[in-house]
Amino acid sequence: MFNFFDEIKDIKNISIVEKYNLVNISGQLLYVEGHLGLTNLSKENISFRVKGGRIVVEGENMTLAELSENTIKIIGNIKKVEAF
Amino acid sequence: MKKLKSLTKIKIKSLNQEKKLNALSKIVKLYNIDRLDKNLTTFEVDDNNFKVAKKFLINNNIEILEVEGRGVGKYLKLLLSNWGVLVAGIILAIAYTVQYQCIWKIEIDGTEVLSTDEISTFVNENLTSKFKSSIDTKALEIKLKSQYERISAVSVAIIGQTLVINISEAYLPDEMGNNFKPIVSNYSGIITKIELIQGTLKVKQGDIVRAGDVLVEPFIIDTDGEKRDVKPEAYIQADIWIFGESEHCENSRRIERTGEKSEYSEVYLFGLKIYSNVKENKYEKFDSEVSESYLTKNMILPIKVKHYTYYETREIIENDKFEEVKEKKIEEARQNALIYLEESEIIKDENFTIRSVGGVTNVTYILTVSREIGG
Repeated sequence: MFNFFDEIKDIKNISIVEKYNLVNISGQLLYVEGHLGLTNLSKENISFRVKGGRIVVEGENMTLAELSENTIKIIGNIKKVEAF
Repeated sequence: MKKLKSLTKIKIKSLNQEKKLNALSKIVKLYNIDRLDKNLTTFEVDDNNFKVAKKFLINNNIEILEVEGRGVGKYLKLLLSNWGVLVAGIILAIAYTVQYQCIWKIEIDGTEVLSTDEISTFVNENLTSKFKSSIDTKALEIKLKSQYERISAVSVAIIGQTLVINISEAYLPDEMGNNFKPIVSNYSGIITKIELIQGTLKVKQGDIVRAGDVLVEPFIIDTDGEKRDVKPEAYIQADIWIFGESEHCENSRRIERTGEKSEYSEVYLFGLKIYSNVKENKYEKFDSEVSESYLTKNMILPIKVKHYTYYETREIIENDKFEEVKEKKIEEARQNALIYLEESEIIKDENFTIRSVGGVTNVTYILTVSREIGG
């Protein structure tokens, strides 16, 4: 099956340690693969654990459109994404 | 596609919700997670996963506050859970489909002489079934035409659930229907001339007939002695009498004005009387006239004047002898009779009778003319 993340990794031909994949579309949608669980959920702050750290997403009027075992889809007005 | 996806929305109340949602997301995929409050969250799961999610929430002591279905599945589920409605709907649809294949009404147009009820009964008797597919309209047209001679053209059509029959009736001459009527007299008189063409005469020359009497019967007795219906035809002339009358009273009373009169007025403004010179009437016998008029043409000041005029009268008793006006009264009666004369009709004879009872004299003028009396 076609996987966007695998494709771009192949093109760049660089070695990346597999932790998580995260894509921010126009600050309106954030898609994450490889999360290890939510740590905080509110309309202004959604944070979750990833391998080797934590991701904090800040914004306004955010909701969790999807939550599965290893994927997250956040929609809303996304202001900042920080990896710790 | 997502809109078509059938989801169930669950509202939960619990502490440490992130941890619970993490655990639940490992079992089922969650959608539209909305944190309403610290302890309140709503989220959606696929309908198929609702039972699993519910079980998880109960096992983990998470309070479920609300469960709400949405999407197409919700309505299907509602429908499927109400078997009665579903079955009734199916039965209704089948019943409608079946009944639509039948005709329920027969409409008959164009009949004047023929009875629509009779035709309707005939059509009903000749329909093998009420199903549209089994109705042969052409065959029905032929049957109708052969059954009723009066029908000159007929069309049968199925429109919706109505069998529409359009009939054009033929005009049948009286001879075909043997529907002859006798010749009757239009006037009273003495028969002077008879020319019989066909039919049986009921009168002879010199007979006195009254209006409405039968002159010729609509049948003949043939050489075999058989009675046969025919259209009666004859020319029958008679002397008929035309009457005119006048009346005279020997003693008559007449009222006439003497020439004396008195006039009074009343003036009104806005309906209120503001002036009056009306006095008590001085005449023993009188008649009066009252007229109203406005003093101004515009209605700014509606001043109305009422005029009363009293005329003195006297009674005159006239005593006219009939003999003095006899000729005048006879002529008056004659003129009254002449009104009934037809154009260019020749008067064969004329005379009058005079009858007096209680001071009243009646003159009857009689004109004798010759006229065809058979209608």
